[in-house]
Amino acid sequence: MIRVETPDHAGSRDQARALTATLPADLQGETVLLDCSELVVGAPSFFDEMVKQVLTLRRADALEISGARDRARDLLERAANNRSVRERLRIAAPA
Amino acid sequence: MPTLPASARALTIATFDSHLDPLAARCDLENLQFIDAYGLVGTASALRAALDETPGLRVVPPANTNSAAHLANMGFRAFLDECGLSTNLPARSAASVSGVVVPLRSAQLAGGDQALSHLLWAQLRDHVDAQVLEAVTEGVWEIVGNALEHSGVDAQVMAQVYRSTAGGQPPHHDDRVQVVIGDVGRGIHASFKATGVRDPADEREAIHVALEYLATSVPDDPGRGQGLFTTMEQVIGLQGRMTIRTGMRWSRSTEPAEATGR
Repeated sequence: MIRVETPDHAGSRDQARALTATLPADLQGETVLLDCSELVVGAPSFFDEMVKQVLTLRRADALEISGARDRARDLLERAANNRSVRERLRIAAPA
Repeated sequence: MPTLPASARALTIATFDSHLDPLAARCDLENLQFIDAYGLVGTASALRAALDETPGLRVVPPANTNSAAHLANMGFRAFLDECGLSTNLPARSAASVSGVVVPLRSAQLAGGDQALSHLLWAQLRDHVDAQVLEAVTEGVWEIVGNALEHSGVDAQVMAQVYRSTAGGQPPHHDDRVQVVIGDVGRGIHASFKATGVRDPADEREAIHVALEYLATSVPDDPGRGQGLFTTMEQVIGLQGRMTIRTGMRWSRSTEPAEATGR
């Protein structure tokens, strides 16, 4: 599993692109874990771009989310629905 | 001739447009008694646009020394310095009581949207509750991001807090915050026109289109176009108000249906 950690303030598409820039171009067969435990505030554009980079462009088997609060979970679900990849987004239940 | 504020006693969200002179020879703030964040970002944006056609434009500072000091505390002198304009405004006072939490600044010179997010968060956390703080910061990410990506130029940002009558020590969760973001780019209508994804008839319709969920000028990217809608959704959900202006058209909202004209 490939692990990616969000910064504490994450709002832009550029940030999401930078976080995923070092990932392989093809992630088929892989699961990416997005660790949101340090996240203080995140914006829709950041989450949408993460979903796009990991699930749409790199075609990972799954994007697994941990440590996300309600707002981040909601925005990630919206993004995955908009891009028709909701079945590959896995959100861990809050601890 | 540039369009600039002239002979105004007050430059606020309610009065700014009525004080714009389309044939101004200078930026005349001599009579100014009061200015809010909208008035200042508007003035700075108008000046940025005017400087493209009239370099070395003259800025007349307020005659009233308190007003001049307030303008300086709002970051206007630093802005004029960045633009290479000289004026005899005083230096910014360290002990500002004006409620200015983020003085006027360029998004790019401030270190970009992440630096702005941290600054806004740190400055507002003692003034508003956690839900408002999160919504405001999220909205600033989206709007500044839109400005930098779609306008093709830098954005100006300012935030000011109007304190509750309780006074005293923070946190005062009844305080109100006004955050203003402005740019002098091509405008929302031209941004849609440039890619042809949507075809609004004019600036007014362009605002309405921009407020639709998933309406975007970016082609072939189905998840784009959330920023303005979700910001509006958050602001209205917290009984706030969002005003969008492009060109000489603007829309003030109390609920999404009113803002989008639906």
